[in-house]
Amino acid sequence: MTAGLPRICHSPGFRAALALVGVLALGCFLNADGTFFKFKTHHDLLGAVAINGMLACGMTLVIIAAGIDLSVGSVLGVCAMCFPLFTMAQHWPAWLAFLACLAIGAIAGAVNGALITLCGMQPFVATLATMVSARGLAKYVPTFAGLTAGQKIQPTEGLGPPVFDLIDGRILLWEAPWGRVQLPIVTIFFLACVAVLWVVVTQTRFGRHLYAIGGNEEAARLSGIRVGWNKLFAYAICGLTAGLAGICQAARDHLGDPEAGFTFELKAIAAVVIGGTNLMGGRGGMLLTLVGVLIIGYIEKILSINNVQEAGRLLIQGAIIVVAVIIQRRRG
Amino acid sequence: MLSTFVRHAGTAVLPGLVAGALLAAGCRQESATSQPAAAGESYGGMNIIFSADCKWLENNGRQEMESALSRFDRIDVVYGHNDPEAHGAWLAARAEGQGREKTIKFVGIDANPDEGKKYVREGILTATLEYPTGAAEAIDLALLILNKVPVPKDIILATTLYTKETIDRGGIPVDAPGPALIAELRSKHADLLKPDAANAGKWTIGMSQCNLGEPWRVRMNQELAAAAAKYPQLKVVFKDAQNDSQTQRNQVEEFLTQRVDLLIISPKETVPLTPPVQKVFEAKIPVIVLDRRVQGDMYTCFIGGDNVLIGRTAGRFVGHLLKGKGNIVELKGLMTTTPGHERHNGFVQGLQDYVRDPVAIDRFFGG
Repeated sequence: MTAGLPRICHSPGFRAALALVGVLALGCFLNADGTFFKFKTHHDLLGAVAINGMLACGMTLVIIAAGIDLSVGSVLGVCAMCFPLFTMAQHWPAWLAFLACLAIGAIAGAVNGALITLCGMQPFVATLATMVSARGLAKYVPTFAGLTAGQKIQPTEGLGPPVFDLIDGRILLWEAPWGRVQLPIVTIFFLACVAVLWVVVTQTRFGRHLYAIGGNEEAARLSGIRVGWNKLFAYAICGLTAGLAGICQAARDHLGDPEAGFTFELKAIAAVVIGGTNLMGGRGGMLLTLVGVLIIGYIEKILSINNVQEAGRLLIQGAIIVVAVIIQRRRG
Repeated sequence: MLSTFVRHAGTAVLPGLVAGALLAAGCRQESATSQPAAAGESYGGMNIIFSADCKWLENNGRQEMESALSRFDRIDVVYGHNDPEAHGAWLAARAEGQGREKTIKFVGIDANPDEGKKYVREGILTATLEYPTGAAEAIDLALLILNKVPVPKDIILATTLYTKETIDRGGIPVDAPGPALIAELRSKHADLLKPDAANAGKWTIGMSQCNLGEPWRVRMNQELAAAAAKYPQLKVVFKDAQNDSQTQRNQVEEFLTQRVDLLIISPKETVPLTPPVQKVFEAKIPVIVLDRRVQGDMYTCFIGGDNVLIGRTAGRFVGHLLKGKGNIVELKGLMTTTPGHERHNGFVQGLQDYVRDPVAIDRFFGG
């Protein structure tokens, strides 16, 4: 009954791309006196989606394996506090602080994985618990810098160590006559996440095992796949991307905010779902998430440049999620 | 084949059209009201060209400012309802790389010593207005109340405008009735306001804070603790309701069960917290309400800043900065809270004040 249409039209990638094209077309139509056509709008958007994008990349791995990670926002908060703590208060070299924060993120993810595989907790419950504790930990970090719990960590001179400006900066790609084409560094981190994780998911055995686990965990276990280790590794990678996102968030803010990342996990999950990855697991991919992240980012940007007020924004964003998921539904 | 295609295209396109219609309706309606020439958005030659609800967050301030910078070539002043929003906006202007952060003036509110005041000293913010926590006043009044001294029912605190030139001599004070009342009480009862080591821990004060997730409230608690540390006869127990009204109700009831000698409360919301505060008051435990009100008058004393006055001072100062002509971007706080509305309404009144009487206001702010 679906004969006649080329096979590509049934792929989730096509539907996701269709949705993205639709959103871009809306942007052209509702361009706020031409603002949508300026390069600056798109540079800003690429910088703004990077953090959500990194969270969504790690989240995709976990969702493919039929799990969920609600703690990514809080882990982002912990690393967004630790990076300023290490660089501003403890004066560590930037590269050491960077690696330390990534390690903290990975360890947090591994804790999630251990709770789920070793203790047999449901992913929702386990990551809910770590979400709450990690937020408490993030608020505790300032005490290591001699401040009260819950206080922001501010730079002592100017805008902080040079690494903050480095990460918050842009690379000039091309000095075109009608504008400068720049790429924010955080976007490069995001695209690197997408590229690396795409290779992991499509080209490695680990990736194939995740799909199998997500599709049918019992069958995967019976066919000899070490389900526990694979799941733990997936959660650890999710924590690692959250750590990277935390470093980038701290760099963008030029300070350590204990509330950083609050409710970010919801937007990350929305990006994965809108991209077309199924929450039940076993299907989906990194490129779909990239499209999902851009769709969410562009909708927010269009609402922002058109100065839509808060109530309208929330209604519209909710409606978009419903619409996007309906479009993604598998037919036939 | 055509019917199949139509069916597929229809099921994909139809939801998209619905979403598109919603989006278009939302955008068209809003862009109509955000035209500078529309009534209510333009004051004299000063136009609020862009305003967005940033929910008190720095991240949102930065993203909304990015949109404003893309859309408008000429922005003169950015008014953020708190310092983090104004700081985020400054970072957005700086990230553009064209030096706009130097030509645009940024005004914020809160004046935390390690945040807003720091930003003013560094030249990031042109000015910040103090949103006083009332903590030190609350402790002094608590000590007087515990010594059975009658106190006024309402104490409205003043504010101070800090600019780079004036911050080191204490800023430009803006008056309100509260400070005079406090000063009078302090001088009349100076004998009671002394540390009394002999009676260490005599009185226990319960402090119910609505949300330590906000830096301003972290500062409030710090100032309360520092003020109480001066009086060994006072012991303060802090509880944080983590921004949940139900939790705060439970915590107030716990203080009642423990029979604290006095309750200080900064309620999350007026209506849900009125009954528990009433119960405490009826049990003959004095209650000091800080910053946000409860309904009715079943409390001993309210101490708080005046957000309308702060917004109004900000509006007058912005008028003074612009000399009556220019484009303003307003980054609002969470508009479901009273401070958000009051800081906006006050701001608009301040702009109108400047249009009416520019000379007096210019003189007030020093030329």
